[in-house]
Formats: sequence, structure tokens, C-alpha cells
Amino acid sequence: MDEPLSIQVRFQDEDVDQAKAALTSEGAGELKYVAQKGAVGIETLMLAILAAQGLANLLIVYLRLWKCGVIVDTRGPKVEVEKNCDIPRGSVMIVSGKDTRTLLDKPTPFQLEAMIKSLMSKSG
Amino acid sequence: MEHSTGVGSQIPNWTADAQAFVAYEQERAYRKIAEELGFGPDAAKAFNYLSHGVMPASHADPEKLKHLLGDVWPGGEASWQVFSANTRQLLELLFAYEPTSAFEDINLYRSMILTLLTLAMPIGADEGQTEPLPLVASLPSGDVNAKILVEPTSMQPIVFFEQGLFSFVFDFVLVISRSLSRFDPVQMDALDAPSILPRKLPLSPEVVDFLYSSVLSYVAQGNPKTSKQSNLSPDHNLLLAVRLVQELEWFIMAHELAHLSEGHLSEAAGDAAGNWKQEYAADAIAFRRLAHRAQATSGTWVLAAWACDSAVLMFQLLELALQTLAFGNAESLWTSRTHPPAAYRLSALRGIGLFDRVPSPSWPALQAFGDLGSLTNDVLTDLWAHIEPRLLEDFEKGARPSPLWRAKIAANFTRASERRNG
Repeated sequence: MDEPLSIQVRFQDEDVDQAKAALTSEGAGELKYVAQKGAVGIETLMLAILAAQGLANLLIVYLRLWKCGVIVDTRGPKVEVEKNCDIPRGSVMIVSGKDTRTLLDKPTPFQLEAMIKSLMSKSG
Repeated sequence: MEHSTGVGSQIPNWTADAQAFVAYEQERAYRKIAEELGFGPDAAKAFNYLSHGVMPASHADPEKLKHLLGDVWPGGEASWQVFSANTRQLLELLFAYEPTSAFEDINLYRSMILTLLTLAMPIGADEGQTEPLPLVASLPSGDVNAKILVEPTSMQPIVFFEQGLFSFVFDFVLVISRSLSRFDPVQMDALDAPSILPRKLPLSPEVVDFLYSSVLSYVAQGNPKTSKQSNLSPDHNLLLAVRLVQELEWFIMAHELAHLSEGHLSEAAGDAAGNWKQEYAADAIAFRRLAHRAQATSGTWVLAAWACDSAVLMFQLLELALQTLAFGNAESLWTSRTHPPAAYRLSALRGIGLFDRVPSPSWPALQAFGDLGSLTNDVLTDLWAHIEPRLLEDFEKGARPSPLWRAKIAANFTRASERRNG
């Protein structure tokens, strides 16, 4: 499945410019930064269009930048990419279908791309 | 689902993009709650489980409030007639509003509309809110927060209030109201002259238990709506409680509107110093607005200012609770790049700039504001002295903040030992 994916990236307390640059360098289209302010702490939200391969590469970059894990939720109309420090550092958890959770420990871009395409084609 | 702009209101029309954005965020939030509740990813099930249904207009009948106050209106019969007529007119306007999303809580939505329309009106020296007004929407998490953002396609600003914010404001106000002797309603509007202020009551085990269980349900369980809590009645301070809830919500909404009017949302994400400056500015602008509006409507700015002060004190209580349950006795440092800690925000509100923010800095009014702030400080210090050991005990037994808070804790706190070790 090579259709571009609509993704949303969420994180707190990380460099926004670096996260944006990573999206741009992976060829993200229609990149939108959602400006927001809160009464107390607030997360960063960015929207973009990205191919599965670009998403896989992006996840590798974020794992390195954020020094945490990343959760990728493919169940909805948009792919949610969210920093998560509750899963092991360097791992990616992909949530798909009817709440199936697949944990990949220190995956390669190839593994990620294959997994994402496989799961998106099953749910598509 | 209809979306109404109401009668003669300034609420903008919802664009399809804004509707879709809000619906997506709400459904996503309910899906998370559904997973916590063991419903799987069934957002609709979580929504139906947590929904209280539509509050009928009769529930907000001003006669009910008057009855709870002993059928005697504090300001006298003429004042009652004005209040009753205005309230009924406002309810008629409000109940014309329908939410735009299947996952919107209609009661909270209408409450937010009421808050927004109230602040939009020019009153006294406050010019009201200039166009464009934001849209409003609620989110169902237990996060005690509000935010304003710009929907990136339609560029419509949207204010979100979390369920947790509404609930925590309510619980906090109940605690304050019950911890003070009766605040004479007539005195509440006469604070520009030497006044008789309430005093701190002896600490009540019921109030301590209520605050402890409330704080624990927010911090450890993450969503008070999904956990059972006892109720606390405001008893002798019902009218104070009603006014404080209203003013605290106004302050928080006004803080978000200040970000909009000051252009903070059109700027790129700034550095920590720039972000902190914007937060201080939003607090100050909200404080000023409410103080001026109160002076024009009730003759004194003090109660409104005290409410703004109390809102930030409420955030400080939450920070302490998060810190305690996350780190126990270990020292931690505040490291947020987006917000100053509540203690600094409180100092800023009470500091030298106060004279520029209030309409009539008379000595009695300044003293009353200072005294009321000290009073709530003392109340919460006493309560915290009883609650902190219980939270530490919970920490020792393995209790930790709900996953809802972990990103926020990581963003806002660093263990002191980690910072020293570099």
C-alpha cells in the first residue's frame, strides 16, 4: 500500500523545530503546525501527509531525538504518532485493527515500513 | 446535528473543517477513556457511559437558587427581579445552542458558551472580546486544563475545556467554601470599604477526606468521572461557591482569550523565556478584565481578583499533588518550557503590577484582596499538611500518577538528582 498517509504527530517538551525538520526531510506534504496555548502545560501537534516509507524513516528519527518510545495508532482516519515514555526506549508500538498492539524493539526502517503497510492494508 | 449561532450572538459559524477537527479530537479522547474502562476502543460506549444526558432548563431555574438561600435574596427584592429576568433570558438564549459533534457534552458546551458570551460583552472599562470569537468545545479527559488552538485548515480559533477542569474547579471551590465561615453576600460586594471578611474554620475531617480523595482520583486514576467520589456541600457558603465557580471559569476562559487577542497563536513556538512571558501576560490580562468587569457590575473588584488568585492556587495544588505522587520525598525541579510554576504565577498576580490591573486600588480593597489571598493560602497549607502524608504513604505502597499525567510530569519536572548529575 503506497497511498500517502494523513498523520498527526504529538509530543510534549521536545524541540519543535527539530520535529518539523524531520517531517520535511522525509518529504512530508501539507505540513501544518497547530499553534496552541494552554492554561497549564500543552502538547505540540503537527499534521502532515507522508508515504509509509517516509513514516518509517520519521519514526527512526523521532526515536533518536526523543529518547523514548513512540506509539503509532493506525485505527482511525489519521495515523497518530505519539511520543510515549512508558514503552521501552527505542521501541515502536503499533496499534491497529481492533486494538491489536505490536511492539517492535529497536526496529529498522525496513521492518517499520513493512509492518505499517501490512497493517494499513488489512484495515484499509 | 444542528449548529446554531444563537440569538444576536457573536459566536461564529462552525466550518466543516473545524467541526471535523473537534469531532476527531473528541472521539480520540473518548476512545482512550473507553480503553481505560475496559470497553475496548469503543468511543461511543465511553461517551454514553459518562454522559449525564441533557440538563433540562428547569434545572437552572433561578428560583431553585433562591430557595436554597432560604427564599430570601441577599440584595433584596428589586435585585432579585433583575437577576431572575436576566437569568431566564440568558437560559433561553443558551438552550438554543446545540453541539456540533456527536461526542460533545451538551451541558458543558452550553456552559462554555455562557462563559464566552459573558466575556464577549463590553462591561465598564472592559471592552469585551473583539472579533473573531473562538469556537468552544469540551474534551472528556481528567486533565485539569484548557487550551486554545487555531484549526489549521479553516484558521478558526477553538477553545477546549477538559472535563477534569470543570470538576476540579468545582471540588476546589467546595473545599474553600466549607473551610471558611459564612461570607455575607452583602459584604461580598462591599469590599472597597472596610469589610468583615470570613475567617478560617477549624479543619474538618470531612473536608480533608474530600480533598484527599478528590486529588487522588484526579492524579492517580486520571478521570474523576470514572471513579466514585463523595459529595461535599457548600453549606453556609452556597452563594460564595456559586460565584467562585463562575469567576474561576471566567478567569480560565479569559486567559485563553488573551492568548488570542495578544497574537500568541500567530507566532512560532518560542523559547522558554518567551513562553513564560506570554503566560504571565495572559494571566495579567485575564485578571485585569475580570477586575474591571466586577467593579462595573458589583461595585468592587476584590471578589473577582480573589477568584483569579484562587484559580492559580488551584493549579499549584495540582502541581504539588502530581509532584508528590510522582517522586515521593525525592526533590524535583520545575523544568517546563511552556509555563512558569503556579507559585511564580501567583507571585506575579499579587505583585507590584497589581496597581495597574485593578480599577480602584483603594487601601481597604487592597487589604481585603491581600487578606482573602492569605486566607486561602492558609486553608490550603493546613489541608496540604494533612493530605501530603497520605499521598506519600500511597506512593510508598506503589501508587503513581495515571498515564494521563506522565507526559506532563516529564515535561514539567526533573528529579533534582538527575539535574545535578547532568
